[in-house]
Amino acid sequence: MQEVKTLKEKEKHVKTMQRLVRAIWVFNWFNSCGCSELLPVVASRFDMERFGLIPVGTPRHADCLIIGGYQTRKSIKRAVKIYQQMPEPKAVMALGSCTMTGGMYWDSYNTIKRLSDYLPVTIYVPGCPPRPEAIFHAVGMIFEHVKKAREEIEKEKRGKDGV
Amino acid sequence: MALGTILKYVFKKPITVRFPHEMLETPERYRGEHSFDIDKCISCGVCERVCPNKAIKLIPAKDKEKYPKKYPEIDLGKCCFCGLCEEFCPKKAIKLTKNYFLSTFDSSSLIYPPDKKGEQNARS
Repeated sequence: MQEVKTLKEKEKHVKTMQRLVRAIWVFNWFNSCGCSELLPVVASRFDMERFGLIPVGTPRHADCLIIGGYQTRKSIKRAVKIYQQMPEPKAVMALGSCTMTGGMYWDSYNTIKRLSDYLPVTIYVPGCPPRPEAIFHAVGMIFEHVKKAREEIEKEKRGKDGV
Repeated sequence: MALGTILKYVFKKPITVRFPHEMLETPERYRGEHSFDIDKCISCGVCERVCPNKAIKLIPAKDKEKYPKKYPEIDLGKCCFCGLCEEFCPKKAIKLTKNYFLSTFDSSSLIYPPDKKGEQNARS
């Protein structure tokens, strides 16, 4: 998460996040086993459309990019391209330990160990692979984060007017 | 035949798990977040040697007078939840709990020092 400091910057950040959380349209980019537990989330077992999460066919429609599992040196180029094609209020959700530190592939020569060197990751979901409920928990955390940030801004505004 | 199938699906429970209201029962031997008991630990270092991802590292504890030896620091960002550390621990100091709600905005918060108890982020 990037640090935001001034009130204007905060407001802008919350506005972009707000547009994001109304209904998160998701583009999936999977390389490996991180995908295996997300399939029930997309399909009818856990049914992510109940929360407004809809998988879309092209990155140009997407708000959120879900990256599952390790990225190889070849596939990270495509992932960066996909990220660049997405419209502006965008977030990246990284599933699995591979995206944080390399996980099982810590000594592999051609996998990317830290995804945050290439893409600005908004939220991490650890697990190998994470359970479907954990993904919903992460989405809930984004909702709560936006709510808290909005309340903070309102408090600051009120304080300024009072003085 | 067709009518029978229709009736079967009319009276069947829907397949969707309505997650925030109802939860699936986690399996009995599910391996989730670690809980570490520093009083039981004898700092033999077996967990560090057996960990396939090198997620466990022995470091000195904060309270050096009470705990003079080195104790395991667990990095959940590296862990693959294989459960070998639990299986090989001679004093059962490391245990894997059923908590799997671990998502964070900051990946460095997943490194658990030996003083920290598990289930910190557990959903109430």
